[in-house]
Amino acid sequence: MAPETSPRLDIKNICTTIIMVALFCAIILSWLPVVAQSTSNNGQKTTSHHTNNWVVIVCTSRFWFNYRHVANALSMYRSVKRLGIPDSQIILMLADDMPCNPRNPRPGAVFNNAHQHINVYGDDVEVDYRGYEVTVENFIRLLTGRLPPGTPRSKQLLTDDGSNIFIYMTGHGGDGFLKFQDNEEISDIELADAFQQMWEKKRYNQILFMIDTCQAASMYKKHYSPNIVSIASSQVGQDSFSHHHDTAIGVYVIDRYTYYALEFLERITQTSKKTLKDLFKVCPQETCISTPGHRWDLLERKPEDILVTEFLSGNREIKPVKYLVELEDILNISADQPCLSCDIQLKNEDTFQYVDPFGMS
Amino acid sequence: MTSIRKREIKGGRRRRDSAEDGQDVARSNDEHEAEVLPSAVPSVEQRTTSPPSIPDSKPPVLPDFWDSFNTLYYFGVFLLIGVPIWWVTTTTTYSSLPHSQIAALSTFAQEKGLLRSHQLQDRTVTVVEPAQKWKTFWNLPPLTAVDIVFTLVNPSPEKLKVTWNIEESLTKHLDPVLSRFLPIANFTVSSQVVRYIDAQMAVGSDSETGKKTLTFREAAKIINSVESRLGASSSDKHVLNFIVYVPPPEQQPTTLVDADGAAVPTNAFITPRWGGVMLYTLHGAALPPSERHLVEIDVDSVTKVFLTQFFMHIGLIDTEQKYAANVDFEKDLDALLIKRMQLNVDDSISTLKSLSNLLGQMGNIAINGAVGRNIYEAVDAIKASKKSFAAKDFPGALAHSRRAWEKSEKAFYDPSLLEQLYFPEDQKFAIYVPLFLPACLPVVTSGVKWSMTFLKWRKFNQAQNTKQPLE
Repeated sequence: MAPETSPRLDIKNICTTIIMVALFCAIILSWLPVVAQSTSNNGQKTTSHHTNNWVVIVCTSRFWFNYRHVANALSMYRSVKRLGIPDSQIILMLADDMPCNPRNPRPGAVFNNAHQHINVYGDDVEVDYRGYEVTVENFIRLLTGRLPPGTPRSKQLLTDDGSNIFIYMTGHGGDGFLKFQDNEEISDIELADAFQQMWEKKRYNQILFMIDTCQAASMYKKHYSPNIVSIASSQVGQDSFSHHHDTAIGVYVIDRYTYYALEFLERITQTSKKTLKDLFKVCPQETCISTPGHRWDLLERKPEDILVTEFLSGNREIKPVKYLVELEDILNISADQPCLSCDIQLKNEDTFQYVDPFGMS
Repeated sequence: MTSIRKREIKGGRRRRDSAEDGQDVARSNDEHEAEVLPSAVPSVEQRTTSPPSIPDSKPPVLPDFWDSFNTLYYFGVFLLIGVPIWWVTTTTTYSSLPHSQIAALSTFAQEKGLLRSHQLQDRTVTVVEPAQKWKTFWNLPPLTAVDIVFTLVNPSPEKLKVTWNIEESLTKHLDPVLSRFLPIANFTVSSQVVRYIDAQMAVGSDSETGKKTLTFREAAKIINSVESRLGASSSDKHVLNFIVYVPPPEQQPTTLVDADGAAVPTNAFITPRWGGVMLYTLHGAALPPSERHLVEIDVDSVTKVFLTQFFMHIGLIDTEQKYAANVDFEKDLDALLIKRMQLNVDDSISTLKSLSNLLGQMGNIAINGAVGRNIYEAVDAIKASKKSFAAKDFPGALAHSRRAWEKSEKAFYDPSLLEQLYFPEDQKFAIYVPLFLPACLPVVTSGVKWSMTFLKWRKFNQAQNTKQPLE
């Protein structure tokens, strides 16, 4: 009997071994793309320069129960302002007016914390697009620069080929779209196309795109323009979660990913050496519940070489003036020679006029 | 009555080909009379063609003329008028563009070979070499109008009363210079005094000499804190800001120290494309902090700094240059005109190429007539500029390049390009269902019904025709 049973057992063993080996190989192979992605990034280590920093912060949700989205956006606004980016270079789009909402028991204030540590709607908030102005069309027009004539400067994204732009979006999203105002949505392709138009027109140097919505990763999957790095609060098919609830006002006050991102940003100063790699580590799955997603394959550089302050602080590059031109030189040469190709000579009496200090606070 | 007759006359003739069944017999008298009127001869035919082989089964009836007419008429209206109208009104309008001409244009940067390719996952893009790009940041981008704003910043007016007679100095020194730069751009000059701005910069002191020093990083803070109060938002043009910052008495005299720790003799710095800042040092003995002092700014020395900064921005002198070599204004100006012309042309070409590329990539970008005209004019201006350049007519080339740049900007940033937002194909289908379904359903069903009856009749008729010769 024994010789008969043993070959059978052997076959069974061989089968199980083969299956095990196959499974093992499959697991190894499934990891390959991940490894390949992390190693194939042939970005060069280059010191980066930029001319200026711009920030676009968008909250797309209306209604009181979406209080947390407004709080997310305002908290981000506060953080980038703290790091030195002037209001003139921050475009803030808020789809609803939470501070003035009749259900807000603390009028004129928005808190991102149940203990009301910081009023993120402080005394110096400049909302550029408010309420029903927050539409997909306006957002795309803002990014691509195709605004109607006469648009005030504060509603324009006046970036150039040396601008680093930080774009933060929050709201309710789905697979491949982000809902605006409960009646329309921006799709992933639309957003990717807008970025491509910006790239083609040299409207940015680098973009940091951060999005906190459900299925947020779906919004960056379609990007195809160079030098965009994206961070999303959740993967496709995942919900993004809120952090905590304020019983006094009966709504959630902040989203999880944004909460931890802000915690990270609070510890950043203008001289900080933290890189995007550190920012990627913010809010791992055990704290976020959802899995944050990152994409950096479009970059020319590696994320570990890029400082967070390149995007989030108003650090200016400056150069000393090491010598001066001599006024006499200029006077002697230019005064006696008439302008060759222009027939307009500046008249002294027309040159100066009093201009009202428009737009000053 | 007449209409009924007419109908019966015409209808009757066809019906005669098929067999008249029992229903015809049971018709009302009226109709029967009408039928009788012209049918004296065909009634014989009727008898001969009636199928004797299958007398019980109902032979198919050809739809009567007016039914057919109605069905076909609505079908025709739907197909020949409705569908084309829908198609015409919903398609993106393209005016024809000189794609091949645009593709044939080459930029000066391309000719100099300052570009490199960057490999993305699925394609390669052309990027400017980072070192080259960095150099260009220090010069103004292509533009046709600049606002120059001179600002005196006095953070502590309670301690210092600062006055400046900047007008006089600018008229004397800046105006002749600007008049020479007019081919490049139009300039608007304004000046203002801003008080009570807390730059929050920490002034340190040199460990050896005990002099007050301001590091580069701290100095850069002045820009951001001043920015919101400059009122630049009132202008739509590119603004160049030149700032004289008078530190409060307790920080006087302050020396600016660059990143390497070396003192900057001019106490001034520039920042790319934005403008420049100068720290104004009060000379003489330390000021007693109790009194309010009157300070009259030495405007000529300030103008000197402004002019140097301005020349750096416009590209007349190199920012990398360490010492004032002999600035040969006339020669440098010629070189500058050529440089600006090339910048304008390059930017214009790259804009047109981008637009041409984007149209290929995204079908929902609309190009109306005005945009199309701008593109044509830009292409012509670029060619004219290159021609003038080849003929060594530099002012002419610059004028053409300015027009090219303006037209191409206008074309790219025209708001009408975004009139149609992105619409995925499946959503297009979904969005037209409410429009088409109610309109389609009756037309299509009647059409189907009609054609089915017609086919049945024809089949039957053919069967008849094949049988007849046998009999």
